[in-house]
Amino acid sequence: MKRRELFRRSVLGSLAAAFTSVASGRPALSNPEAREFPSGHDASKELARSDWKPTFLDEHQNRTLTDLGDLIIPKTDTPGAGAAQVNRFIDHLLNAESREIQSQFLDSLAYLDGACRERYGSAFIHIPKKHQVEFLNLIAYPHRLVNWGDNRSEFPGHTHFNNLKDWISRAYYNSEAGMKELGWSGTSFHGSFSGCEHPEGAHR
Amino acid sequence: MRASRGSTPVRSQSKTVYDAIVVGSGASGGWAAKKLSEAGLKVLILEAGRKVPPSEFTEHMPGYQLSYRNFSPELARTRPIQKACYACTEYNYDWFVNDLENPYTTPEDKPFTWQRLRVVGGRSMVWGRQSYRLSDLDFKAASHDGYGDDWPLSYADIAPYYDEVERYVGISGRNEGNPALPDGQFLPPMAMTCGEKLLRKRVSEKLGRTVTIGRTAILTQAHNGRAPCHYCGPCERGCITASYFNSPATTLKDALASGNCDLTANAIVSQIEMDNAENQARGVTYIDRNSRKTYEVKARSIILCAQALESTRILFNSATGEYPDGLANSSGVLGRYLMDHAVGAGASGEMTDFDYKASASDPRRPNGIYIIRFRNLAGGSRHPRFIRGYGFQGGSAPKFNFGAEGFGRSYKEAVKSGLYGIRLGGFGESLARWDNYCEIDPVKKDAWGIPALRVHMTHGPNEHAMMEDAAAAAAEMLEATGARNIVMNSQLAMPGMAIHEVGTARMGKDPKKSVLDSYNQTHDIGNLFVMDGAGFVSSGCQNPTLTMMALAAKSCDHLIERFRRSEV
Repeated sequence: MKRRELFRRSVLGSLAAAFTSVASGRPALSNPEAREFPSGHDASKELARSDWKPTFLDEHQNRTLTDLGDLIIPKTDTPGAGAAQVNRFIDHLLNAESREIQSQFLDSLAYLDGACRERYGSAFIHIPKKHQVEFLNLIAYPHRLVNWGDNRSEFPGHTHFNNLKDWISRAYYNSEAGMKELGWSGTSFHGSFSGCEHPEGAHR
Repeated sequence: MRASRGSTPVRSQSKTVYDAIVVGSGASGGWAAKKLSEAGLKVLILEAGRKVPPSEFTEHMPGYQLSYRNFSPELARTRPIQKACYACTEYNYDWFVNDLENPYTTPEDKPFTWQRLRVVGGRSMVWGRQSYRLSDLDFKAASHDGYGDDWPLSYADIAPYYDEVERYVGISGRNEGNPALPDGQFLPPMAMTCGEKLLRKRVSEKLGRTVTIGRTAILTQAHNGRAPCHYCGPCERGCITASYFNSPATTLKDALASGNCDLTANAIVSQIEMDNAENQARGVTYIDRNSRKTYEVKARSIILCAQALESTRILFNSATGEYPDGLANSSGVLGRYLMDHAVGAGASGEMTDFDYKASASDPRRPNGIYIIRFRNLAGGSRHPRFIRGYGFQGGSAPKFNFGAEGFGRSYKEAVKSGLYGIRLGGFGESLARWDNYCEIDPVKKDAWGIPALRVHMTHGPNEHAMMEDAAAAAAEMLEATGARNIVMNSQLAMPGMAIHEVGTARMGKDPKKSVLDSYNQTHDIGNLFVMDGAGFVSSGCQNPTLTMMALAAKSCDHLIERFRRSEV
């Protein structure tokens, strides 16, 4: 049974008969513009295809993003960015994005390679993991360049890191694996919201 | 300004003469249609947008099933203005107008954001659902502080209609006995979180202010054939159990069930047609949204419920030789006194002593808390820097910490460990000012060739001073509650961002200074009404929809009585 139908059955079965008209089936489209999601619609399945290839990123950029994803959100006792195919979603979204946003993303990826080449003599994916982690430690935290006086600027690596991390984090936590990581159980139907049930003055 | 009349031959759709045509099917249009049709009057609702079947509701669809996991670039392309609204998402953006087809203009230095839906149900499909009564502190605000004008009605006149609307809609909330925010006919209140209970207790003890649970048009028990809320969260994507109030599931349903009401969707009203000899409106012309064919329908009364700016636009675009500056605009006041609540200022922080963790499987309460106005009250002290007042909406709950620094295992853990957040956002009264106004743009037209609106609005010194105070007061209350890492914002959002625009066809006793009387009837034309927020004389600081619905209900009772006496 398809997910929405399953939901309708489980939820609406417990509700008043007044709602059976909704549960009895999907009405025919009354207007061609109606943007309905077909029963069982799941765009993530398309990304999971075995013959998937990047459409926006080239092979090197895709591998860089994949490696970076696994360092930022690694597999622990729960799946990481790799298992969630974060790179595939990002490639798909970038492909549809504005030129400006595409360019910002590529600038950040290019920064990574440029800065690694400068420090380690090679692009990010070609240096040992030890050096990758060492480099990420340099750029992963708020990093001010303060020159005793009032000249103050941000270390550019942090801006690029945050840009890439933001993409990876959004893609991961909005994937099925990422939602489960946050405790999602697959149901949206909650009977009640109990709120604070502590006695007055004991809110801990 | 006189709008040009189209030269396309008008084709009459039908010989039927309705008792009333209601333009717009949102919160106020739904009430007008329900009241009039249930009283036996023949009603036609004209809605500019399409119907939305429940099969389009996506409130339970997880984001990963969407093509772009709710980050669709399509919004930036076709909804660059609409996407500023939190409710406009990849799930439902097609309910919001396409900004490319629905332009309006502003002066360069006066940005204004206009959030609109054109579907059956209008903005009631996605509204914030917060429902608060105005009091005589609002209706008689001019008498209180000398600024502007009183409404031509008092709280006692509208109170029975607040009762009627609340009983029908189903508002959950708690009576507080605070005269600045009159009590109502409430369903049981939603529960508060620990942080909110502590906020309520400390703010009351230390500052004497009232923190209450949001009064919201969401059911906490079965009501009028609708099921209680099941706490899935995103009401704005539709609700298969109809637990939040929107017109298609309630008022429109009743109106259509009466047997006296027709609804024509995709009917974009371009102008009102006049019988000049009788000085009466005789019908409206609309353009079919898809075919672009033009139709005229006739009625004994015309009721605009298209939303304040849209109704005003229709009146401007209906100018005649007798009313060259816009229909029912002999006063010259039409379009003036545009108001929208001052929002954006407030404060947020963390309740570091709480160790509850967020979980994506927790119930999601689609409601927050409300702090009742405490500045410039009747009989109280007056603030030296501003008149009127503000309330707060906000909440306190555990949330995920996606913004945690770092990477790797520690980042993943930090996201999940989360924070216990607390935040308050001010909603301040927007003063009625002559120089905040809309008119017809001399050049720009929408995709149907209908002259577009030009909006001129800024927040003034009173709103700025008020919001600065609101930010400081919010920080003070968070501090009193024991919050840490408090961050304030005293910057006002762009006018329009509250999506509470009201006032452009104001009510008043004097026909020279107002467009409508206290029954939402135009002073100039006896069978022409505007029953949406355009009639507001002042904005109060409370969310306006409940008052719009109560005014529409009240004015419809009056109109029904006039029909009974054959005065229409």
